[in-house]
Amino acid sequence: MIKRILPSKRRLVQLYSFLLYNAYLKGFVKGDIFTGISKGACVPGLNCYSCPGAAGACPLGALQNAVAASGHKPPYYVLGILVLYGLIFGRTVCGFLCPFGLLQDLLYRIPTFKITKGRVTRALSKLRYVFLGVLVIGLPLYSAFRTVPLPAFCKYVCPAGTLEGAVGLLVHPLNAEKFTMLSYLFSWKFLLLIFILTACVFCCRAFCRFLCPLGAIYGLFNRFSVVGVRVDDQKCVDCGKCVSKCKMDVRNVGDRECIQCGECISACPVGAISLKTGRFTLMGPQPEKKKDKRKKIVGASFAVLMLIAALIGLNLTKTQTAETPLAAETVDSSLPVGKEVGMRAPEFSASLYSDKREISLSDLRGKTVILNFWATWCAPCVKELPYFEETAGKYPENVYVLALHSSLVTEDVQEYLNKTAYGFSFGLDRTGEIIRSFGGSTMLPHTVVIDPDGVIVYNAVGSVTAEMLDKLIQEAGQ
Amino acid sequence: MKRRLAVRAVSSFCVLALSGMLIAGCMKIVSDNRTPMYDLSAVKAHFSAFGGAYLTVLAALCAACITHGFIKRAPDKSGKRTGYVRVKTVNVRAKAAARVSVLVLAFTLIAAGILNGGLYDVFVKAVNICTECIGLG
Repeated sequence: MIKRILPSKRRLVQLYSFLLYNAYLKGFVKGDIFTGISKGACVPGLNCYSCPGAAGACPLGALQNAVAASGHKPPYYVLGILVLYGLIFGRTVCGFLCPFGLLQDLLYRIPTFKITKGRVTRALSKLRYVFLGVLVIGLPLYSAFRTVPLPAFCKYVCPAGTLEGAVGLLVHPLNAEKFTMLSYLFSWKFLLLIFILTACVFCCRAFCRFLCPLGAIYGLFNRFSVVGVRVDDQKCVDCGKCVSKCKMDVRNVGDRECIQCGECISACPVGAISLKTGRFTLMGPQPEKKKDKRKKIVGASFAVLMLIAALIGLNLTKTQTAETPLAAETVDSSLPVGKEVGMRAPEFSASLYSDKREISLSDLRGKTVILNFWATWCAPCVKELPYFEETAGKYPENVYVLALHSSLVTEDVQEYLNKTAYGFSFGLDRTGEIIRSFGGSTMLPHTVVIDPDGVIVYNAVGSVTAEMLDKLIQEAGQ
Repeated sequence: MKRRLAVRAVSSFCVLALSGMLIAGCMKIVSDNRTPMYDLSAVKAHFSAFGGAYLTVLAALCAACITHGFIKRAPDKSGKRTGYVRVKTVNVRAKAAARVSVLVLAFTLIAAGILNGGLYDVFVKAVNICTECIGLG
């Protein structure tokens, strides 16, 4: 009875991976994401980097963004990381190291009627490669030659992004105003998430088998990955019990469909199957040698220490806070300086791309100022720039539109601006202080509207339209 | 056997009911709003109105799962052997050579990526919430 309740070794590894990938527990408390340097490292499994706890980057999201930016920079780094993980782990990532795989395994444990594998599921398992080819590579590559980057799988399908990113952020009370940003896209993704999770209850690993492009990539390396389930040819009697026991659409142990979970090890009547890393057996029927046992203890201790170090290091480091903002000169100096609507806007100074001169908020006294924080790598930001162009053209005398690029620059912004030839002013928020002084940081686009007296009329994250800007300008002018 | 079937039937119904309620709630909120933007109060109103139904279904599901835990497990039926193909014997040297070459390729790509700023690009994307990617905005 106790054995049935205790988690298996595989479950423990899955839980460990989930905790390691999402070690930034403070993010769930603060309702914001981690911005430390470990975010440059891709984790092996599917774990959205917009999850409040995520300590690393998602390989699939990173791949799509890198492909979408391949117009000016080949995606060597992400491809190299995927090849390395594939070589070392193959689809052992799916079986042991993927948080979404863990969720699917737990959902499948709900005791309902189950859909067993067959010709239909085998045919559906080819769908992964279609998603990989079209949504992960094709559409982002097509967008690489246009101005708006498009990580299509992340945008239209990824349930991990909806669950960990969107829902993970929205459940926090501090993010309540972000509900106003929800649109038909969220509706579609939420419905898809419910459908996928329901499917996972009835069909083992429905997402892994039929939809996951990351599994499709890692599956290509299964045969020669360092860690994986291996069959001893000398002992194998071709009974096929391994394939019968397996709930995935495998034809033999270790093929592209195999998630290397090791469930078939117990099914083999002759003990021919084991989970190996090189020559070292991780799981298998062979009696354990003393030195192998010692190696396992050392490995487990190192893993635990790494987790503790991550939990302490990520959660106890100090976070950067904005400096106390200076007030711009205004008519009504009784109003406090701050980032909320109705407060005086904090003074800032930025250098313009057009003529390299410094412009500050106090220079713009007497005009309505529309401040937009954007970046070339942010698709919604790039999509709404034409609305600012339209607004700037409509109110040339009374309104000053200033788009400040994020301090995180990934391509030559000047070259981008030369190509797009917008007529309004663009500057650079060199250190990120300006966006922080208006209460923003990790979410773009962010728009602030300041009236001619220097009072904030609008300050919110999210896309705007030309009609919204017209309305705000009228509000500011009153 | 009958108890197992009953438990599975109850669980299946509960899962489908829960999904159905969530889908119906989502579609109703979208259709009620004149703009596609959600109103948090509409979400709260939905859960307050149907909170009892959700809790009942969840309670039934939990009860079914707990009951299933106490039912004696049936012997594990083997699935279909259909499509079994014997693993082709792979030349060990060829496998080792493939691993080494892929490893060299991986490190070369990673080094090239770090030098051309690819690592920094991954960092930049990861430290900012992509509102479109998570379905916001």
